[in-house]
Amino acid sequence: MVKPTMLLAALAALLVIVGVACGGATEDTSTAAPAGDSTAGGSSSAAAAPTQASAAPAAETPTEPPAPIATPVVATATPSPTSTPSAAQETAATGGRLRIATIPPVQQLVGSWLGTTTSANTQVRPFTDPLVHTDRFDGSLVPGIATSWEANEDGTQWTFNLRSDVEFHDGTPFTANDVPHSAALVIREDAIATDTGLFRGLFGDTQEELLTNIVALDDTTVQFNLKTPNSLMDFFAGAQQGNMFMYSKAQYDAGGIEAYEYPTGVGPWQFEERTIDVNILYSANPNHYRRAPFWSEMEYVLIPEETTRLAQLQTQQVQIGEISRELHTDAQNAGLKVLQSELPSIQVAFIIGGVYNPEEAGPCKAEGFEDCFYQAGEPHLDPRVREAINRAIDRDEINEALFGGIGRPHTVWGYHPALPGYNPRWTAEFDEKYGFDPERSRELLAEAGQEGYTLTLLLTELPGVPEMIPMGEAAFTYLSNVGIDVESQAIKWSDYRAKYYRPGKTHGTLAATRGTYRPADITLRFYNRSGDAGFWRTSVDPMTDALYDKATQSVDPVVKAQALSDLGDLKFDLYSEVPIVWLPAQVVVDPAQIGEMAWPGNINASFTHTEYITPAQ
Amino acid sequence: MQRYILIRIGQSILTLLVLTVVVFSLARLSGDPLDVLLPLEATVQDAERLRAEWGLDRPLHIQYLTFLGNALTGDFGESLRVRGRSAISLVLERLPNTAALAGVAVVVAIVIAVPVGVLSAVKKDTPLDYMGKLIALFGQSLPAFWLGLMLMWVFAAQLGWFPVSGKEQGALSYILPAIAIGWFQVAALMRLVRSSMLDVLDSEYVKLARIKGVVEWKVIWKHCLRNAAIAPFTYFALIIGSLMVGSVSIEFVFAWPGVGRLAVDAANTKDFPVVQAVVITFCMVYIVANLLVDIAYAYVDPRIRYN
Repeated sequence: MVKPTMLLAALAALLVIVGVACGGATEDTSTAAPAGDSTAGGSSSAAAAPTQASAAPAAETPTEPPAPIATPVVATATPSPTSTPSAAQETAATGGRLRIATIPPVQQLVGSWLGTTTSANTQVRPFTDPLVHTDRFDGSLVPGIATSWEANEDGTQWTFNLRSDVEFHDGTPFTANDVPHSAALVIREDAIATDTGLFRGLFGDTQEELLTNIVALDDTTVQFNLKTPNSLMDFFAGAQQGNMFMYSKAQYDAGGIEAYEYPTGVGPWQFEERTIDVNILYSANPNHYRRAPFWSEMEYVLIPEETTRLAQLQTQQVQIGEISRELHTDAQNAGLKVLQSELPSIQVAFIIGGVYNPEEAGPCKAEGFEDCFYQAGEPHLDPRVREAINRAIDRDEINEALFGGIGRPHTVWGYHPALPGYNPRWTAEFDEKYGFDPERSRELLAEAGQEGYTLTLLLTELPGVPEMIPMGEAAFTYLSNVGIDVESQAIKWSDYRAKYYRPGKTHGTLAATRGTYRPADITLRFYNRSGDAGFWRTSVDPMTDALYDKATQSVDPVVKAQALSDLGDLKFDLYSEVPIVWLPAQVVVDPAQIGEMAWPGNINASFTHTEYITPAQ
Repeated sequence: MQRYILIRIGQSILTLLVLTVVVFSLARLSGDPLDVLLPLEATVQDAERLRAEWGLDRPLHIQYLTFLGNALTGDFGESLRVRGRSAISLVLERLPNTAALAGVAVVVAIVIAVPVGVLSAVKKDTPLDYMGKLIALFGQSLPAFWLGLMLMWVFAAQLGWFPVSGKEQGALSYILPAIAIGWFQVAALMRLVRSSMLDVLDSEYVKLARIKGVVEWKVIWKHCLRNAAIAPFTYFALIIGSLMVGSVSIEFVFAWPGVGRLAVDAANTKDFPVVQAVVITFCMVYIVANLLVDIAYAYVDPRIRYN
């Protein structure tokens, strides 16, 4: 028989295990945010400051903006370290598997048209390229498959000149005929791509119609004939926010759409296999025209729980991980390194609901304003109320406490100093017009006769900014402090979308949101455009519509920038939204295994430019 | 006996039918999958096109009857999240992983619960008994996901004895998630073994065996445990059912490619077909397990009948 003492010892061991587990966790947490840590910002919840990628140039600052996105009229094949033909010869697979622990994508796909641009850029971009490449340091559009491109004067015809030496992984040559085929995939009947609606509008509702508008002039020239002028066709061809990746027409002709279950591509990695919710595996393409990867394989390891991803990094089972800012201090204490993107990646703001303004006091359906969302008496229609909300919120405190101080100034929703259309006046006047001033906020509310008005604060969350809910909770306190009667409501993003902004019923609400770093007109189309063209319609009136049309239909960079600037002036002076901060994208790496890693951050995905990641020396 | 079995099967089918209504209704009440899966930039026309293609524009009762008719043939539709894959194929692909984990968890539960339960009974009201009760208390009070994270932190991240997550490293990959899932069942099983043993230990034949000079370990582990094991044995089927269902949080924590994790991902993205396939599959596991237990009871105890 087992001796009781042995059993007691075993039981004691079990209890010790539990005790160690509890104790270990407690100790780890308590030491995670030392007060003297210059990165912690004095808050236990603050994230640690990231480290710039080792071989990357100096971090972007508002005073030293990176080059703006390439203007459409000129299409020079600017020589770039990232796009020279000799790059492939510079590198060769050194062996080893690059393992990246990431959150499972919402849609798991190898067909880019079957999901959002974020899903496509994560899973498709490794194995096949868009026409236009994005520079990994300054985020500008640079030659990739397309060596140059140009638009006609009214922006209705775009011509892309293509490389002649690009091959699919199966050895078949890439030609201009693959481009209309790939574009047509975006508007398939089963497509739910980010730019499906846009492409239907630009090229036609059917694939047949699209194929008459996108034509291969010869093997290395393709022409896009647009139904309406558009100044951003190169941006959409770059798929920073879009789904037009290059697929093989020959593979489709041979095997139909089913052949794309194992698609060939023209990317630096070849698609090998995927196991749903487990991993996606790629092998290096040593003959890539632009850049052959350093690693022989790359694997996305799909792990939903971030503590598990952190543990994977600590045990060196993966080299790179997607970890939220909340755990960055823990990661750094464990010897890991936080890297951030070269450009800001995410803009964070509060959206003031109900600002549907047909005219100052005009009828609901004023000319050029089709949506009947206007509601007379809505407090948020008064710019003084919107200014009061802006002045009630302490941005610096939010930045330090929630974002660990990594946030950069944000003055007008949709605009960044490095993007066309930014007016330096906004930076100069921001403190004066938007600075934290609760007293002035109360005065403004009194002047507007809206003291104590009821505001519904919608607490919601979007991927990439887990701080959105605490930010909303902070806003609750700030707004209550100036006398606004705040009612908070936790709501899922999908429900918010369905119940509030889609039907135009955001009256009296305030909700945090985040957007990406992209040309202002892309953001404005989504937020500040009325009618079918707009989506959220956060703050719209006939003037914003007119300026938006002027900006998007002109390919003259000066005219376009001026129209965008005028639109931004309107938003800035009328307090259309509550801009908070610009944030970089961040990842955690094991410095013992990863050398250089640089990515722009302006592409809708956590990981891009993985072919440039080098192992540690 | 046949009548009893037929009635139980009829009840099981009725239960399943009611469950299909509940599952279908709850899935629809949770929201519109288009609001989750469509990009923010999707136009109203995009949404309507997809709604029609996925059959979401039809009246609810038509959708339900279609769902029910297809479900009878094992067709739950195509996953909305993993396009091109049928919902049931995703479930069946994952089911062996969940079943294997549940199987190891059962072993873990037995290995811990049976000896502790026996010794608690034998050493009733001693420190050993209290210790056994403490283990049971831990099992029932520690949330499985928390226990899983702690086990991962100590044995994988700090000591490096086991892989952190996934199932690529074979048998070693099963240990931590199986303990995390199985510990909860230790409590119930241990109490069952303990109370059964206490009954048996007082019986006449045990006293007789001791009087005859049979060594104590043989009395306890051979004669007593054999007779006391009947009740825990019938409980195993239920344990397997609950372990499979209870694996949801642990599969999430350990990135285990099982049905539980599939259910979470599907629910988060409102992937109706997969949610329905998972829930119906889990329900069937439970119903079949219950049915088998009931039939087994009826065989063991002739007094259980529908008269």
